[in-house]
This record gives sequence, C-alpha cells and structure tokens, in this order.
Amino acid sequence: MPIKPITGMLRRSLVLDISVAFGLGTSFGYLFWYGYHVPAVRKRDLYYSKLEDQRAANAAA
Amino acid sequence: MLNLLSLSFLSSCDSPRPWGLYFQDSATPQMEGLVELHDNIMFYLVIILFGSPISHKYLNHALILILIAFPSFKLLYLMDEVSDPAIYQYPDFLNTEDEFIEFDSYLVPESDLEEGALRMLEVDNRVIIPELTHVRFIITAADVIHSFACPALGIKCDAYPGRLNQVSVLINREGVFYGLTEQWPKL
Repeated sequence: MPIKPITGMLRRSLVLDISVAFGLGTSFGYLFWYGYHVPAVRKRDLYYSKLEDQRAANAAA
Repeated sequence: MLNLLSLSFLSSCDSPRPWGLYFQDSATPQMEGLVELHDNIMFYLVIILFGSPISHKYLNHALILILIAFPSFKLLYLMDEVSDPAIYQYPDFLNTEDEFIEFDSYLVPESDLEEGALRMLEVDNRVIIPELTHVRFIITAADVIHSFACPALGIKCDAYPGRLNQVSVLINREGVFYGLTEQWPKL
C-alpha cells in the first residue's frame, strides 16, 4: 500500500493552523465588536443627541 | 435567567446592580474612554481566546500586548490632565443662612435604609455638583489610606493622610452616581 507523501506537511499545517486560528478569532472578535460594542455606542450617542435636543428646547423656551 | 439578564446585564444603571456584568453607564468623557479601551482590548482578547489554542505555537503574544499598551497609555495620560476647574469652590457657596457650605457625609447604616435604598452606598448628605462644568475633587484622608471612587464617572483616586490628590471630571448628564472607597483599610 502506498504511503502518503510527507513533503509540504509542515507548510500545510502552518497555513492551516494560522488561517483557522485567525479566521476563528477575527470572526468572533468582529461578532463582539459589531454585535455588542457598536450598538452600545449607537445607543449612547442617541441618548446624548436626545439630551442635547432637550437642552436646546429648554434654552429656547 | 433571561429575566436576570434583562434586569442586570442589559439594563442601564448608575449604580451597581445584582448579578451585574460590564460597566455602569458612563457619565463623563473619561469613563467613555475607559469603556472604549475595554472594548478594544476585548476585541484582541476574543481573537486570542478563539485563536490561541491553535496559534500559540507560532505567535508571540507580546505583539498583542503592544497593541493594547499604546491606547492604554494614551488614555492614562489624557485622564491625568487636570482641566482648569470652574472658578467657584464648594465653600464659595452659601446656604440660606449665609453660612459656608461644609458638611459631613456618612453611609446610611443598614438598619436605617429606606425601601429601595442601596446598601453600603446610600449616604446621608449627597455631594451636589453641576453638569457640563469642569469639577476638580481634592482628596485626602484623616486617618488611614482610603480612596474616592465613582465608577460611572470613571474616577478612582487614593486618599492619603497628609497628601492631596486631585481628579477632575466633566459630567455629561444629570444623575445620582454612587461610589465608595476601594481601598479598604486593614483592620
């Protein structure tokens, strides 16, 4: 029975490991960023813009 | 469980809450900067968390530490800047009887707490400070090392006997912000 060629195994495993690691890590990182951080910042900015409008309305009145 | 999450994790608050995760709502630019820094670091930590079981064989994590260090230093030095406070000092204000405003403020004992009051946080006299005004706190202690901390304002400053420390804040919005010493004296 022929055996699998062993040339290129190191390079293949390096590329696979690093791409899987970075792929997984970056995907979950962006999931956190766009899934939690960005909506939280948007909510905060919305609150402050409403507050600013309210202050302007109070100042005008 | 969902109820717990919706009450604690997702709700907005200016004080600690049961089962709370994450930060209290920020009320100053410093605290917003701290939350931003935390989230930036979390981004890298999530990459490490999911990528590291595989990539630790090849990568030196000092690179990640350097990525984290620079924004951290920047924020640290920015927070250390003490802006010129408003020209008034607390003792400049007079009460209705033309006396200087000077008061003690102590924690309300557990036995005297009213319904809904926060244990170990409620005080008998609250410090009232203006919003959208640079305010400087000058902090010292009379006996041992204490500290003055208010998470929603993003400040924590040690209070040493015989030494004055200062922190400055610019409060963006109205609110009742709770804090306490984070330097428990050894008994």
